[in-house]
Order: sequence, then structure tokens, then C-alpha cells
Amino acid sequence: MSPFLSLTNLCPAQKSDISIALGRNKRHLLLDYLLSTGKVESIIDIPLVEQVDGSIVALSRRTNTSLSHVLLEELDQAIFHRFDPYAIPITRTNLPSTAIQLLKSTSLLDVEPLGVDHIISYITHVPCYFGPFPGASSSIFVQYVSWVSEFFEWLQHSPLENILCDHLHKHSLLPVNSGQLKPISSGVFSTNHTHNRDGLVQFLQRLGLSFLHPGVSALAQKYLDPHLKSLNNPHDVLTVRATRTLNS
Amino acid sequence: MPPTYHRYEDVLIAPPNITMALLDAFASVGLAVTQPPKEVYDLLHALQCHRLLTPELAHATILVRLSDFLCRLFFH
Repeated sequence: MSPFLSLTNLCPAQKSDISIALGRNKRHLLLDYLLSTGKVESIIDIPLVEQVDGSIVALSRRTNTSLSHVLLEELDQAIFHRFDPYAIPITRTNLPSTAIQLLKSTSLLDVEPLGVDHIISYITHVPCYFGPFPGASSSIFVQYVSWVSEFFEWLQHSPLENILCDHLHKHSLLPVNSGQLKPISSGVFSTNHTHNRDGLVQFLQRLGLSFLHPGVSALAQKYLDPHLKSLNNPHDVLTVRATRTLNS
Repeated sequence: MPPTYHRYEDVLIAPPNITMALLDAFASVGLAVTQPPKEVYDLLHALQCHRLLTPELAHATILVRLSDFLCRLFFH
């Protein structure tokens, strides 16, 4: 196979041959050398960078109209890789360290660091990606609960947490007992302090109150707790119940 | 990769510090690179030979090779 067929990834069926013809090590060597003078121009239009979906892409000069590849740090990648196959993982296994530093700081190429707008866009597509949910015990819902737990665990350590938090309130992200997704702003109740109160929880659920799905991880629940309603606060119960009654 | 023979103006001349692994990577993308002994390289450098390997020249040469390849693929 021609080396350029492997570089351009023109034949997806031959993907397995690509790694043989020009494996990651050779790509790293070429990237390292081409970037050794610190000029990112030296890799423009040469397909050397691996995307999240495993295909190889050539970075181009950034223009006002071109879409940029989102750079995902290792922790970001675990959360968002499934929503953006064209993102570029900036990990040591995917890129040499020279390239990582230059890609993170360049404004010349069609790459940009993960930002609030990207995350909001990913979050908007979450229900399409996972849903529809046939029920709270369905495997896809369980997968979602696991993902959203990781997301909120990631969020509490993210430098974007303060800005994102305001945006997230209106998105239907929280998995609740009934197998649906609700926005934080809708008044979802915490499952903390519900021990030995199963009867009360079931009764309130029948009245239309939503409780955070118990499968959400303890760390994520701890982060979410200040944003959730509490059964210990009768005012919360009455307010949410009154809102439900007015809306129904 | 087995050695091939080219005209002087068709090859890139690598300095002695370029590793064999990198030369092999260049060969994998179709670049003809030669690595003469240090004395010969120094002489060519002193003569300001325009085929001395640099990241800029490697980039330009790979692009030409890539363009040739795509032309052959789509128009022949």
C-alpha cells in the first residue's frame, strides 16, 4: 500500500493496514521533527494527528468559517469523547509532548481548547445520544447514570465549573427515579436523608415529585446536593408540589 | 527500507544527528533522504546546499508528494 494511502486514510476498509504502514511511533517522530523549530505551520495539511475516532486528520490554517477540532485533555476525553469523533485527544499516548504544547497555544491552526460552548453543545446532544430511555432499569439508562455521575465528578474539578453551573441548571441532565431526565431547575429532590423513608418517597413520587436516581455516584450526589431540594425542608416539598399542581 | 538511488536534486540531505528511526519514518511517507558522513554534510552546509533537510523543507516536500499521490489517485 502506498504510504500516502495510509496517511490520508482514504480507504476506511484498510484502516488496519494504516497502523502497519505508518504507525503511531512514526507519526510521533514526524510530528516531533516537523515541530522542532516551534512553527506549527510545518504540519499544515499533512495528515498526522489522530482523532478520537481513530482516524488521522491533517490540521489546516484556521479561518473564520472553518470548524475547529476540539482538544481534549485526558480527563475531558473520558467524559466527552463519545460526543465528538473529530476531537483530538491531547494525551502523551496520542501526541508527542512538543505537539501538545504547541497545539494548546496556537491560534493559527484549526484546533481550540475545550470551552463552555463546546460542553453546552455536547450536553444538548446527550439525550439524543443516550435516549430514548425505555425505563429506569434499562441498560441504556444505567449507562447514562454512570456517564452523568462521571460528568458531575469531572465538573467539580473543572476550571469551567463556575461558568458551566449556571448553564447546566436548565438542561435536562439529572436522572430521576422514574427513568426520565430532569433539569436541576425543575426541583429534583436529593436522595440523601431518605433512609427508612421509602414509603414517604414513594408517596411523594406518586404526587409527582422527582428524586435523583440512587445510581448516581456518591461523589456526584455530594456535588449536586446543594442544588437539589431536600425532604428535610418542608418548604421545598410544598413549593415543588405547589408548582407541579399549578403546571398540571 | 531498502536503499534506492536518486538524482542529487531529488533527495533531501539529512544531518548526522537525525536518527535512523526518523529517516525510516521519512521513507515511509515517500521522501528520499540521504545521510552522508559528517564531513560531507558539513561541506554541503558550507556550500549552502538548498537540499539540506529542515522541518520547513520536509513539510513542503511531503505536501508535494501528497499532492502527486492524490492526482494519481483521482485523475488516472
